[in-house]
Amino acid sequence: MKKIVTVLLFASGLFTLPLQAADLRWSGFGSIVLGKTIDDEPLPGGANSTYKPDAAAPNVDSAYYDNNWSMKPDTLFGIQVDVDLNDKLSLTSQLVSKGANNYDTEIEWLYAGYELSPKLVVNFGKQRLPLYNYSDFQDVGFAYHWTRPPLEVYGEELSSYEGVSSLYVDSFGDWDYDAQVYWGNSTTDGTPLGDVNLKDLCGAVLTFTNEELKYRLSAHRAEVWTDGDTGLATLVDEDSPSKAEFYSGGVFYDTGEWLVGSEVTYMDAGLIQADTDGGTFVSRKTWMVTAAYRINDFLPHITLSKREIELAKDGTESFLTPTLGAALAAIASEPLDGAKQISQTINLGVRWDFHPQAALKLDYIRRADKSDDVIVDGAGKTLNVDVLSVGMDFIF
Amino acid sequence: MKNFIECKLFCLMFLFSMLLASNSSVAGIVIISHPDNNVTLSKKEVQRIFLGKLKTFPGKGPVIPIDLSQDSSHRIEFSKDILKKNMRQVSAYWTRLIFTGKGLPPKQVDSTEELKKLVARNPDAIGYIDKGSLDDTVRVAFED
Repeated sequence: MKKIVTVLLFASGLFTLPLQAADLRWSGFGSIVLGKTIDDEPLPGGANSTYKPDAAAPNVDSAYYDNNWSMKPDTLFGIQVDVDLNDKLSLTSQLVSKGANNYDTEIEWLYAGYELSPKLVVNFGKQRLPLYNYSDFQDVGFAYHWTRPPLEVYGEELSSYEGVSSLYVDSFGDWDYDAQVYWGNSTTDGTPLGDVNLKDLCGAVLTFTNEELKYRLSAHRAEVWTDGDTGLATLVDEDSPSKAEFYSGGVFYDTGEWLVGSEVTYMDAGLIQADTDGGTFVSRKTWMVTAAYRINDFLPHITLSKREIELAKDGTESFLTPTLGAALAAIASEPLDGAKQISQTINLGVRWDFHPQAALKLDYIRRADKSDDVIVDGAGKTLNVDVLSVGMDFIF
Repeated sequence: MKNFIECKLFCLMFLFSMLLASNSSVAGIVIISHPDNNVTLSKKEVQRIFLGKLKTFPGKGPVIPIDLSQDSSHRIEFSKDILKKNMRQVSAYWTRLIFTGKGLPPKQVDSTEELKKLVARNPDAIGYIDKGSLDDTVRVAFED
């Protein structure tokens, strides 16, 4: 009897405790976007070029815009719950359902945060990979001016990792800064290269802000290998992983009326081939420049961006997905030594803030394929495409 | 002639009231703390506290900033003068922090009176009110 009472007390404690002790908050965001290709490129095989706006989405039809109107590629809904367990310890979880992924719901964030001091927080769990300036809130369209950040730069397929990170926030003089370091592992299944694994993924991000001005620098490294059914496993397997490095820098100036920004990235996939030739590697250079000017509730903007992927000795165009660590040059079929796959995009758009928690966006993208002949001769200019989209972003 | 003088007087009064009005909207806001909290803050510190970048009083314990609601004219003025942001920038700033779990905006109240009461009760709290609403339940921690 005593035991039952204890159990009952314990159970009631379990049920009432969270309501009393934990401070729980729900918030959410979403985008509903309709789009299509306006000018697509006829390709040698009889197909037409398409556009996948979210690099992290799986390679399925619903992730691509083609010449029929579609609401799936950019449409998403996310919900977040934050729980303060006590003054120091908190839990954050974010679930996102993407049309590009046929509305499958995935956990984008799931971590416990512990405040070691008022200036230093440590987080454990699944977190966004902070490769770019807009990475952390890339799914939250309401937080920036485009329908989606420029794909030439924001082209990395990997978007999260499981591990530990720390964030230090402080200031000197008129400048505020924060320093983030992280370490973890990451796996992305079902890419054209098979399952891409990253081990000992680590990096640092440094941000300086002074009211209107912001500087951001980041560096990352990882050991990469692939497995799965693509036949790549023998080239970059777990025993001979490739060492990849990624760097980015950004400057942003926001007066409330003018917004001007630029971001530059460089990746060295450093692929060390265990096979015959050796020394195969791939690098990727990207940049973007954006400008926006506010006229009351309207924010017209223009963005130029470019991506240049350099292939080494062996590589094949059809596998040119810009994955960090990119095992992409590992497949030997055509000699592409030094060949470059180049794409550049101009994005014209306008954001209309018709409500404090919702904005309408219209974006027109013109993407040009400037790749070397050796790449486009066979497959055609697969990257040539114009895309129009109209959508609404909201938060609550 | 009398009419002319009246008219002039009226114009002067009108101009004077305009001057008062513009004065009160430019320099009317003060940062307040509990009477027992003898802290003196700089403009930059107030900015950092209300943007969640500084979580303690300089060299002291935790600070709890209290905001007014988004449509309050004091809030708009405070954001412009102290935070150097318009309300859209403020909203974007917090959206970015909320959805990465990095921070939450200060608690909001609907009126200056409510804010003053909260600050008068809690030595850790600070807020902003118009100078005209000052009384001895609170003290000034920063004035622009």
